[in-house]
Amino acid sequence: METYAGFWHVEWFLTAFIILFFITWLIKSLGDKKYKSGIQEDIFLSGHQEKEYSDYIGSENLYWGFKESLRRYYSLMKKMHNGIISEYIFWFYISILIVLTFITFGVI
Amino acid sequence: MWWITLIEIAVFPIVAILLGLLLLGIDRKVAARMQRRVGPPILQPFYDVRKLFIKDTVIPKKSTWIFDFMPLLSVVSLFIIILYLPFMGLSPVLHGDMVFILYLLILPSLAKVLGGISSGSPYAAVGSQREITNMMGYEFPLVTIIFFMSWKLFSFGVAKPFSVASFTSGVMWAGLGTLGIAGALLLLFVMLLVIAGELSRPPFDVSSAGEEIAGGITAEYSGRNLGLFYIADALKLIVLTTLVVVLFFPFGISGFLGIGGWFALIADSIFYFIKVLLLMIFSETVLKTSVSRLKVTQLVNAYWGSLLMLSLLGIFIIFIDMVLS
Repeated sequence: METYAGFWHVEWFLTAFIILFFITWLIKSLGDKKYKSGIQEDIFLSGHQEKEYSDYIGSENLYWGFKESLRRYYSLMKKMHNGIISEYIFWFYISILIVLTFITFGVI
Repeated sequence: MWWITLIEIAVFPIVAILLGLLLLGIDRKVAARMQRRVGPPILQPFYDVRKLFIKDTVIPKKSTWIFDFMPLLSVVSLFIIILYLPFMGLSPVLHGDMVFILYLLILPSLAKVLGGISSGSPYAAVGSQREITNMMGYEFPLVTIIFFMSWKLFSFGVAKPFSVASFTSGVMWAGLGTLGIAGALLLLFVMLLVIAGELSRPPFDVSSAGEEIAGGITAEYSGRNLGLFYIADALKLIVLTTLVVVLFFPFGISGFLGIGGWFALIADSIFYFIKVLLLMIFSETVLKTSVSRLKVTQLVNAYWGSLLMLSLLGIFIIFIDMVLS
């Protein structure tokens, strides 16, 4: 497969993936056969059996660190999304103006 | 010939595992000596992996099949990336471009994140959340540097500026002035910190943070699954240092020494190992013995603020050097 600037061979990628998956599976199956594998255990925190983890962390918390770091940016963005349609159109025109300026003066 | 490629596909990853574990051993030994400790033997990572592979593999009751599958996917994806890079100073086994490698580089970290989330442990979930923040952070300076280099290759009239072969040709650093070298050193400094971030090592080790979240993502992993993640760490070290070699030090030594044939192959492989070793010491060993962990909220500011600004400054300096020359 070839693009303007790069390329990759899908057939070779898939061949390599299958071979390497098999090799990795072989590596995983190495080891002492006497030991059991796949024992199912509960989760303990400091000796106490843990409840369902979703009680603590939901999918909306996955980006917590990122959002917390950029809190000032997000609060600014929230302020700008005030629901007033005329202000949205104003920002739309400003954006179009910037793009047209770049195109007209051949900056890009 | 296609059968040689097939043999290389099967052999290179095994060599990469051995080399990666050896590098981890050297890293631990050098770190210990820097702290005036004796440290473990250089082959300690091999013993660790062996021990993990003969231990019970415990799987949490609340986990899904993803938990068991992700260590496997992590190792396979790193094996594949190695085939697209000039591992041991040889030509890449498979041909692809840098954008493709950048996409593939996301897979090992993503596999770890998914494995952590699916374990059902709060510690692992917190670790996964931190790793996502880390991933979103380091990608920005990394992509900025690689895209700038592609643009530079394009400005030299290279037909395929994103191709790995174009990067290894060494055209990019030809005719660089004093200012240009200073800019390139800045970019190299940023890349060394990006390696530390990709490997989740200090000061960017928030996702594993042993003292806070008991190992984070891998808190519930044990036995062979943890062994596979251990191997994945070793492979990732090889992949990232090789990527920096491709970007900044693509030169072999055989041409300089004026040798050919098998001797050239051996000389270039030894030279590659020295480059990878030095990069590992500067990006991992020195950092982990000298700096402490950043807070999660400081991660993005460090990557998107300080490191991105440094990389843009480096690019600007190189650009001035190009204009002046």
